[in-house]
Amino acid sequence: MASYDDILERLFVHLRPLARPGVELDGDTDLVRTLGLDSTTLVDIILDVEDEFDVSVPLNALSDVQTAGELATLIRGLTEEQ
Amino acid sequence: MDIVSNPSNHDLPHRLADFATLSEALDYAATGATGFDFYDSKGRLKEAMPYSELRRRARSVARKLLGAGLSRGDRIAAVAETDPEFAVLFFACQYAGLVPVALPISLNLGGHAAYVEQLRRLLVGSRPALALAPTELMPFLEEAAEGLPGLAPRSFGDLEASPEADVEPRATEPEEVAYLQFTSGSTRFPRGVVITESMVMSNLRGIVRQGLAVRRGDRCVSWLPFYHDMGLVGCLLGPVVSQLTVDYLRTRDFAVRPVQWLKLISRNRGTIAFGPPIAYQLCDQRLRADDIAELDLSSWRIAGVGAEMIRLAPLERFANSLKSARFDPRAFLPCYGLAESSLAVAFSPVDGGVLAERVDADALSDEGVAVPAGPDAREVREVVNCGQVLPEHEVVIRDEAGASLGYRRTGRVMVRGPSVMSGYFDDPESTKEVLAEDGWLETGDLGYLTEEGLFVTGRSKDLIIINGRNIWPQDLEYLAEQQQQVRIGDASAFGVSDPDGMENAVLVVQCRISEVAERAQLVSQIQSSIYASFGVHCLVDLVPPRTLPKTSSGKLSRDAARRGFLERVVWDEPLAVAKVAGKA
Repeated sequence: MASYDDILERLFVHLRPLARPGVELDGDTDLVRTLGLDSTTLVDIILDVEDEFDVSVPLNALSDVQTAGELATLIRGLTEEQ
Repeated sequence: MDIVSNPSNHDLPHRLADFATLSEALDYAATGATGFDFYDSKGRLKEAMPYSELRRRARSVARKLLGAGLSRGDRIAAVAETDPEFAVLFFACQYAGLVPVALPISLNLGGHAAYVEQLRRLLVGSRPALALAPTELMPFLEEAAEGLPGLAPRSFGDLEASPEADVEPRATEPEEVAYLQFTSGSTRFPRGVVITESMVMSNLRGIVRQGLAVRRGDRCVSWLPFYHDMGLVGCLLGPVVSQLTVDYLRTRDFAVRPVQWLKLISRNRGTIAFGPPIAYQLCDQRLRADDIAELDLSSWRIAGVGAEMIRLAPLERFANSLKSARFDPRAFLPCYGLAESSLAVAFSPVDGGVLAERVDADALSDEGVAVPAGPDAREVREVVNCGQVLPEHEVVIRDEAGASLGYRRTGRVMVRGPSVMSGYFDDPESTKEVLAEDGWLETGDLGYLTEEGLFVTGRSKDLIIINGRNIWPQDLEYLAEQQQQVRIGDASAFGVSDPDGMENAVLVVQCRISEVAERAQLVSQIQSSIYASFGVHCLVDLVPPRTLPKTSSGKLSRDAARRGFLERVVWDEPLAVAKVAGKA
């Protein structure tokens, strides 16, 4: 079972290419405001996450996700359900 | 146990939409072997529901609805996930004389509150007697319905588990309302298109006979949402009235893995599949070489393209990428329509592919005349032919003053015929704006006619269309005005094409703030509230007060604001960077 920190680290691998140079990623990083995730890049991230963690991310859950940490918590919950 | 998919064929006499009502059409389809198949995100069959089963469940739910004390003509709002339950509910309403209203699913990152607000406006706008949702979306619907008198949302499962009333349901009659269709118009002031049984049946006849020339053995594959006219009328009702089997993929699953759509067509020998241009573009962007090797698209005879203005290049790229998968570009079928005319207005010819003509762009924009581009044309524009108007329907082009224009002159596209709505629900004022006493409907689109058909060149309304999604400038301006630092009337929104030809949403906002960090903060606040509501990035341009031009009547002119912006913008400079905040 992957821990929250594990999942967050693995998420950063996918998120880092979106960050401006010099921007440090942490759990509080705002996916829209700081990383500028739009609907296309969001889909890329979902695809990466689903493939990497073998989960299916429901849309309704994403509507309460604002930060990288919240996304990690969501994925952790999804992996536990399986 | 393995689920067995519905066959493409049945042994009934093939009837093409010659029914008086939708319930009569389902009664007939239910005597054959075809039906709906629902697939999961990995392309595995989740549920196969033959039309006989759809009919049985719909008639049972009709009795349950009547048992819940509903009266004839009551509206039933339902969050329209691509599930068997929504199809059952839709037809249950047909059997019970009730009016279904499909509610959208529009969930963006951090968009919880915005979605609840959208649902609430639709509930207020349609005044349903009952509101339903799949279990996983119930929390949103419950929140949206809070405080609305007499409205206690229920899940589909809860409704199906309730007792049947001991009454014989009386189906919706030809002149009664078949459904309300909320247009993809402004989210703040949604308008419900009222469509009767005879209107939708006349449109469906045109679609399956002239538009698609449906044949026995055709099979549809669709990911289009049931809360859009193309998904509901085209891909849910169309197959029922012509006894075709459909393979459904959820919209969300298509968005993440668009190639699944092509895989289903290939695997199930699909023949008819529709999408907006962006669907073909997404597939092309995501295709990998091993996908292409796996696909055989030779069965696909109608690749419908509609819902927004059609450009040639993305379709050509799609066809080129999939040549070795035996995709036939003649399958492309551009069409034109709108929810206010049930769905379809015009189709280009079957097997014709994309028929476009090259016109002189200067003559088109300066004089409103579409003349074939000569060798000395400074700029050429390719305009796609959307084909001939459906039987019993008429299209004319009018100028600003309302006078009819001849061939090759651009103006407002007007439609008249038996598929045109009776009006917007509960909204005589908006109805009057678009629908004249003599039956002519103002479509809001611009175009011209030739002997070959209808050519759509743009929108007369200020609509912004990004990734196939309609966004009304008023909605973006409103979100900007919600910020403390912005006064009402200080924001103007419009769409512009960037150098790559991609449409961008732009907001020009007048503000007095000079401090750099505060300005950046304001831009970021506006951008994230727009993102939460619409899932798009908006370029926000802060300008000094009194920069925005006004019209003679004192209103802000979006057109003039747009021209001013285009003079200021340097595409590789700060604004474009602001657009993709975070990317260097």
